[in-house]
Amino acid sequence: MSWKKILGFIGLAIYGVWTLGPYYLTVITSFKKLTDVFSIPPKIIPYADFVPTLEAYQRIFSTRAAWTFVTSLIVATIATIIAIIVGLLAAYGFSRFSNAPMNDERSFFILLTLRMLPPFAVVLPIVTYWVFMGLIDTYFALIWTYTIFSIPLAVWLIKGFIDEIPRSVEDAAVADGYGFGARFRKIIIPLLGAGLAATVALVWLFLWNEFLFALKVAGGKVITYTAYLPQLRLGQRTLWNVYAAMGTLGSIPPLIILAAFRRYIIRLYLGGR
Amino acid sequence: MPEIKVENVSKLIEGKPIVNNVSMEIPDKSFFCILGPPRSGKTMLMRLIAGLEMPDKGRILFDGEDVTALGPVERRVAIAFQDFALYPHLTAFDNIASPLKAMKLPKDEIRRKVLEVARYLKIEHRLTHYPSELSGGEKQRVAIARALVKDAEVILLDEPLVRLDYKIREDMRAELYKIQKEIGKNVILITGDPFEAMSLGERIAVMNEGRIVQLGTMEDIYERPVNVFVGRYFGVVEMNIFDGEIVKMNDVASLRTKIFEIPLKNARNLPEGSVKIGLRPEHMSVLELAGKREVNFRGKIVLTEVVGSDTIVHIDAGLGELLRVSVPAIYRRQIGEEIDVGFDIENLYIFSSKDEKLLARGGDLIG
Repeated sequence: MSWKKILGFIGLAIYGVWTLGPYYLTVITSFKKLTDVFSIPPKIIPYADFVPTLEAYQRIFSTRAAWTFVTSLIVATIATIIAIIVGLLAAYGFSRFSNAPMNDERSFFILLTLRMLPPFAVVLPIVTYWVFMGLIDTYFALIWTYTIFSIPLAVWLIKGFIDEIPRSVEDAAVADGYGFGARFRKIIIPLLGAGLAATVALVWLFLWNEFLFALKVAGGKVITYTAYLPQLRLGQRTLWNVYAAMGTLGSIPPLIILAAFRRYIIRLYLGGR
Repeated sequence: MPEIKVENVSKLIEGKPIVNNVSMEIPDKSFFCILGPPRSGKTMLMRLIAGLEMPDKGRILFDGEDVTALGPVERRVAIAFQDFALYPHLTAFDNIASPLKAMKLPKDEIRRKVLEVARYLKIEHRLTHYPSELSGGEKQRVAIARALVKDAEVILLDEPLVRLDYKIREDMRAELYKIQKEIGKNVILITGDPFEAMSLGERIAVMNEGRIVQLGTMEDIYERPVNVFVGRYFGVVEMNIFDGEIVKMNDVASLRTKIFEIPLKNARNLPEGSVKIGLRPEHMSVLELAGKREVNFRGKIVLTEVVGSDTIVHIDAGLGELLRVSVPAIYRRQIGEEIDVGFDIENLYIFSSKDEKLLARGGDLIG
């Protein structure tokens, strides 16, 4: 083995411990009793240092905490579906009707601006808006807010994929006798294929992980698992083991998605499309 | 079986006319060519005839019926695109079957028709392959098969040969002609290659800057190009154009250039003054190979290019412009050598130097 390779392995090992170490601590913490969480020296090896217990998980499934995952799932999924449908059509418009009035970099930039602003900059007016509408802390408000914030991302990513489909292929479909809807179903969507799937995954992941709007637009009756975490207290104590158990459960869908789409998601991040 | 009529059709993009007030008629069951340089509007004109675009002005009639607002399917038009435009996610079979599936024909009928056209175009052994696995020639055949399979009345071919290799192009060109004769449909070929138009088109529309400059048979256009543009463009080797002057003294008229003077008998209709003279390279000859011609002069060789089995000799004869002479043989000479070349007067073209329109051919002026 050459020195380069050995150095490479050492580098990757350090990086691995750096990134996976905290995640490991989260996972083992979820199997500890609360009293074991803060012991010094830290207990890091299951069975040797501490006896694993499902106490934290039992607590999740016997309280409202379990339902918060369902809420997250419902909200993220519905918002993703709407954002992808709207984003697909908008991206198609941006890509194909480039001669249309106002279809230029400026309108595209304005669309993306919504995404670039820090959420803290816009959360207050949005909350005010939903309070005014009398819809604060409802599924509708959270899904609507999520949809609005996901559309720019969807448009941006999907437009790149549509740009790659030659117009002549679509012209051929027109000549073959396919209407707009059939063209979308039979030509555009199959050709977007994995790229569209990766976009769906990425949009969904952002929403699954979202915290601020979940807490402020909803966070009462309707509460996602991310917004529920700060409530995990017993008197003055934070229930860190339950916290860790929710983090572990919450990380399962992203891990599955990342494993399934890693090639395409890397492409999305590298190329912006 | 439509006779196609294009009436005063214009199409603007961002305010600029891409197709500018075009009118023409395409007779039924003919092989028609739309020829033009890049950006001349030929592809847009094809898209308008196909129904892929709506004209901003004018109308399009098929057999006297206004089809301006109809799409390609209602017009019964099929198109083979320049880049083939095959569906990359479908096999060759499904690509060809696509228009039939859109018509919702029964499965076994689709299968029968696809196999029939695939056999006709000799691609039946490639039907299970995806476009990325096919060669350029095979992709083109699949694209043409997709156009033929649906029994369209008009088949539009948008520069079908440019993406093919030289040798396959030759075969395909011959085959296109054969196909048109066999199926007896209206075939409209869009091309930027004058040679292709000359060898395929029964009638040819030459386009430039969004307009049809000339429409006629290959012989019409070759023998009487309406202006300098068509003269230069419509030929295998570009026409020589140089300055000359019509001089009239008493009743005697002559055409004078820097190096020769030709007496003209019937020059009554020609205005006095400067003109542009056109002379096709293939109408000139090297005297040591072809013997004396009516007008002969000497020139110095600047360059010789061998093109296929011909040689293009560029000579400087003192006309201000270099002359191209096409020799139907491999002809090798040193650069700088002087040779005698000549031409016959009937092959001259005389264009106005103001609007570059054809004024007369040499044959009109001496007979």
